[in-house]
Amino acid sequence: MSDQVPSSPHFFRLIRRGLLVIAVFLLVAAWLVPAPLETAADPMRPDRKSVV
Amino acid sequence: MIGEFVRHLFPRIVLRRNLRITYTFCLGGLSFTTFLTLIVTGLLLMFYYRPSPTGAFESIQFLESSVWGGRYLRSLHRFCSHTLLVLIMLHTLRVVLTGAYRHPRHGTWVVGTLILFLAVGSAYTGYLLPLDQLSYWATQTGMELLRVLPLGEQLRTLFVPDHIGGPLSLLRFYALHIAVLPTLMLSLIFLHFFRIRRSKGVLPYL
Repeated sequence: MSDQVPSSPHFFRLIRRGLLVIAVFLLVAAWLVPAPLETAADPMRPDRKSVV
Repeated sequence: MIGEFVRHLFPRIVLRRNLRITYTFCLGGLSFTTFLTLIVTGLLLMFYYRPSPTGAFESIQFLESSVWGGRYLRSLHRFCSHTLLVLIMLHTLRVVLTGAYRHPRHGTWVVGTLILFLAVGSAYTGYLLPLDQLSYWATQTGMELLRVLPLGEQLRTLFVPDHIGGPLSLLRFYALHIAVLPTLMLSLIFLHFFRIRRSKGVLPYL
């Protein structure tokens, strides 16, 4: 039994850190890697041009 | 109250030796957090998106040029979708390498695999929505690939009753992307969590 610890605060601390890391990663990465947007879809023209 | 509810989703006690990052790399939890971010950003994008052949691209252009933070919001949604797929695949790899798919966790493994397929489907249906050249030709290629599968022709007709980017196909992709697939995913995610908690006695996993 001595090997067991209560989830609060030990396990939840780990979860909070994980949540913080992924949140910061996503927020920063989305700022650094903007979503591409090309010209409007044209079925007659397979060549692609970015408008961003 | 929300905090208490969340706490009840987790075990009350854990083994001290399991409190290390390399135990599961938190990949399931990170995937779920990314999924929740996708839902929030997706809901915000719905305020501007118009699922029609003439309105889709214009609405994205409007979002990016005239809405404060619109471009960032779309970038975040897109990046989250890519990250979710990577995290789920890494999570799957971790489960395979540690043998966590075996009895009595085989049901959890099957549910998790279904979530992976739904995530791929959700990402694919969302790809068409901006209706720019990239999304159009990528979807066109995907639908041609679908034809080689058994019942592929019937599936293609189901998803694309008119033509890629046509009014009906765009609406079906939109409905699948914003309602059908996320609802199925969320239901299976909760079933996945439930099965994990029910197997709590079968350590070494939580």
